[in-house]
Amino acid sequence: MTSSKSSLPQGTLDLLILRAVAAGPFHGYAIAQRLEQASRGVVQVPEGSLYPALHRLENRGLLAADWKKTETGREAKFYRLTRKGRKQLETEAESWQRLTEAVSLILAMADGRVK
Amino acid sequence: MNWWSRLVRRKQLEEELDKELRFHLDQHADDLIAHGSTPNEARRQARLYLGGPEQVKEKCRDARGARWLEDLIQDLRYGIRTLRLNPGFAIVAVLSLSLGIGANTAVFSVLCGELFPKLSYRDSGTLVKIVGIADSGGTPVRLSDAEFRSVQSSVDSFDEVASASIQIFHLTDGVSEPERLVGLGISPNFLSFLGVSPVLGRDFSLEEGRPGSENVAILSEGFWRSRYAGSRAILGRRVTLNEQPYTVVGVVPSDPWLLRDNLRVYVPLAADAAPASQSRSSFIWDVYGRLQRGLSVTAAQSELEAGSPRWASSDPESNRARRLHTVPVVETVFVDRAESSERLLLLQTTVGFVLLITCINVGCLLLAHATSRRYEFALRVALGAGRTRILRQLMTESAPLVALAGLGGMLLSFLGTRVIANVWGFHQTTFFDARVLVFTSAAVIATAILCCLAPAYRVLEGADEAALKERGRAVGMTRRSHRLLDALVLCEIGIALGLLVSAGVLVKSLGLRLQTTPGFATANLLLARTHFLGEKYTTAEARARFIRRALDEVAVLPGVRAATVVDPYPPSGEQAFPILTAGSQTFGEPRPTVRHRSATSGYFRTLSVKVLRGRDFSPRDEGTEPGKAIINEAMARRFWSDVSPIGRLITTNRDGQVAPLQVIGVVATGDNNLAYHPEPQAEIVELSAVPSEAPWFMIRTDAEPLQLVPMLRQAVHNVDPNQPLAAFRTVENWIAQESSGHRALAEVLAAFAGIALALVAIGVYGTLSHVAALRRNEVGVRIALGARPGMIVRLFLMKGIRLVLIAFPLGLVASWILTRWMSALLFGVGFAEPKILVSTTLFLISTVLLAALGPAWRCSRVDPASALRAE
Repeated sequence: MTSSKSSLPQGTLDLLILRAVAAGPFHGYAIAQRLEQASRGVVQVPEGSLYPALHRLENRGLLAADWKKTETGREAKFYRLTRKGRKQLETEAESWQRLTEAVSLILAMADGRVK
Repeated sequence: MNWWSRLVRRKQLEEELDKELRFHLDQHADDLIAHGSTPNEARRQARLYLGGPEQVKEKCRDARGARWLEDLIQDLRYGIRTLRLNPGFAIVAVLSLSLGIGANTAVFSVLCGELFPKLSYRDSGTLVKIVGIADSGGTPVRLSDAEFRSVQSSVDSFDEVASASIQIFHLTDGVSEPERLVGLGISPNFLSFLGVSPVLGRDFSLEEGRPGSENVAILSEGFWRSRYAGSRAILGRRVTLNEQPYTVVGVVPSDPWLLRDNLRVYVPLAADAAPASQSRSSFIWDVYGRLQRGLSVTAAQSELEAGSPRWASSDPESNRARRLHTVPVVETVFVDRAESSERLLLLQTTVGFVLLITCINVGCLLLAHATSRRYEFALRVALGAGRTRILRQLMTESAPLVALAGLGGMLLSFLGTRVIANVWGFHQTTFFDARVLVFTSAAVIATAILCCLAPAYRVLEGADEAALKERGRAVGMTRRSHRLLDALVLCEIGIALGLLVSAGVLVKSLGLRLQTTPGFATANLLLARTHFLGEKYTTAEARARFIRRALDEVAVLPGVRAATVVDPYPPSGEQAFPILTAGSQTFGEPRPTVRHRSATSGYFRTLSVKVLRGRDFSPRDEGTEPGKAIINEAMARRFWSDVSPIGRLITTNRDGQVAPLQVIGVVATGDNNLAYHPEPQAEIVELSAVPSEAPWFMIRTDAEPLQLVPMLRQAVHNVDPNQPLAAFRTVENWIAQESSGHRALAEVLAAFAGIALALVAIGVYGTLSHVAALRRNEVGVRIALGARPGMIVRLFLMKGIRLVLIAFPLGLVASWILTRWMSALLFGVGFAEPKILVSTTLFLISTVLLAALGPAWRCSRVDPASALRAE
């Protein structure tokens, strides 16, 4: 595990989880793994907040869950996107994209203070 | 999954949550082992990474939708379990809360029915009463025939107009003795106008009541049941009312408003068919109108106002113009509203105070309970429970308590309403009233909040790490929680003191009032009323002859010392007799008034009152001109301070004529405390052969007066078998009855003060027990250092006395509030009577000491070794 980890901006965890589940279904541990691997270890889900977030998203109808057997034969709870969740992912991802582009533009202002 | 299935499948969800988290941990640990960690190290890492399992679970539960409901049910279960573990506390709390809520609701129901009556008549909101008021002001008076007919024919604002007139009937029916009845002569549409239908038989038809139609009558249900045993054979029965044959055609129920149960019989009476003596200028009609749909009272009022010059007769007294007014019927139905509302407000304030004491009490107990649970709550906060969650739990835990108390309060209030209405003679109105339900619920909810607030406050500021650390030692009470408990107990004691003081003041005033006699021996005085009606007694001579012969018959009965006929009988009577001139003095408006009664010559002999100056009446004085009168000393002093009043003339206004009276004697002034007059009243007794149309026989007997009733009946029967006697009573009974309202109020207030005292004792006991438990260590140290048990007991008792003394000003304020409502009943005492203050304070102190003794004693017996070991 890398030692330089970034803390997640407020409210982005839900978006990241939705994205990670998009290719799903996955169980909670797999989701945490995917997040960490995809960010090359930069993003780590804050301690103790993954499952509350999963349950909250399930409760809002953005995720659905079923109990299924894993490859190792154990029972696990698999989450997948609902139609509503997919729509939410699209809009949120889009607005995130716009926001980050805008932030990069501002940071790249040509007044030479920051390079 | 909706919230309901979540709730039902709660256990399954918990298992799944557990399984899910376990799977995660195992999976993570397996991965770490695969990367070379030892199994122990791997599990530790995985756990660290996921976070504390209980905290994660708690957050996951929060993320589920129906969390609040799950918690609610869990807390309720917990609350019920706590109550069952602590039955003594539960019983005391529920009983005292029930009492508080029940008493409040009962008084409020009566208050509500009295002050804001809900009439059961058809569309009662559209009913108005039409009254005539002279331009010079004055009380609303009834309408004359002519006015009623004008309103009936010319006013467009009303859909329908109906009228009623009080009538006195002599009933003879061959069933039992002739009876004098109060009834109503009503326009034939009156009952249907109100929407009242007969329970038996039929209503009047519109033709009935016209001259020439058959005489028919309707009886009240109560009278029908008592005199005719509720027999259906009453329909079609022929009875004689005022010497006229009538046929009974129906029976109607009574109500507390326009058809009160003292009205026994109804006959149809058309305006133009009223007895000749009551026509034209006499104002006999209570007239009611039903407003046209959508029309306001003000609109009807302006129409009446505009038409008044044409419709209204002139004021007979002064010949001044009258105007017609409309008043909603709801506002007219209770004559004695002002007086009873004051009493009811007094009661309401009293029971409000008692409810407050109850709340404080239960709050104290809960607070003590919660303070000792500080460790539990601190632990739960540390384990991840939010503070609002704990606040909610405290609220919900007391919910079963308050729910039980609310239920008990409801039951008590149903009983209490009946008790107050019956014992206290308030009008029985509908018992179930949505407003009362709202009030009860508000009372219960306010109680719940009040009860929980203190402990919740305590726990919220106290559930911190300090509490956890204190676990090693017994959790001591902080200075602040001490102060809060003390403040609550102080409030309680103050209010109780206020209740005690006002009850004491009321009792003392009652005592003062009954102590003084009305100026004559009240024992063995029998009263019975007769009423002159009908052809036979139209002339004064006929009436005088009847009275003379009846008195002769009565005088010779065994056991009779003396007899007279009088109206009004002493000590009743209003101060309403105007004096125009007295000797050489002439008085302008407003004229001085004195109390007046008319009596036959035996009056003072019957009362055994000596004439101080001048002489007593003699039978020869009857019919002489000018009329003869005897006055009391108060009156003599008022009008003739320096000369003798004997032989002087007094003039008064009688039927618009100036009437002279000659003073022939002076008697001592009796005290008139019954009417709450601090000063003795001036009184004049006028000799009259026929004191009034409905005078009272007053008979002085040797023994128990009511035993004479059959002989008295027989004596009167011998003179005229058709002349009824009614309203048998004794002067003593009447005085007792007159003061019964005061007595009942004093008793109720004393009862509530007693309840408050008991509650205070419970509260002080509970609080001090708790304090004693918490100070066990301290006391142990003190004893180990050489303190004797007596010193420990004194420590606690001094605290009790201090509490009462500090609460004293609060008690003064409470008693001031209460006594404001009973100013009319206070006679010769103020709200802060020193004697009463001192005695009630001492009483309260001894109660508090008694309550403190138990805990203090127990605490002083602490074994220092065991107390210190617990440290």
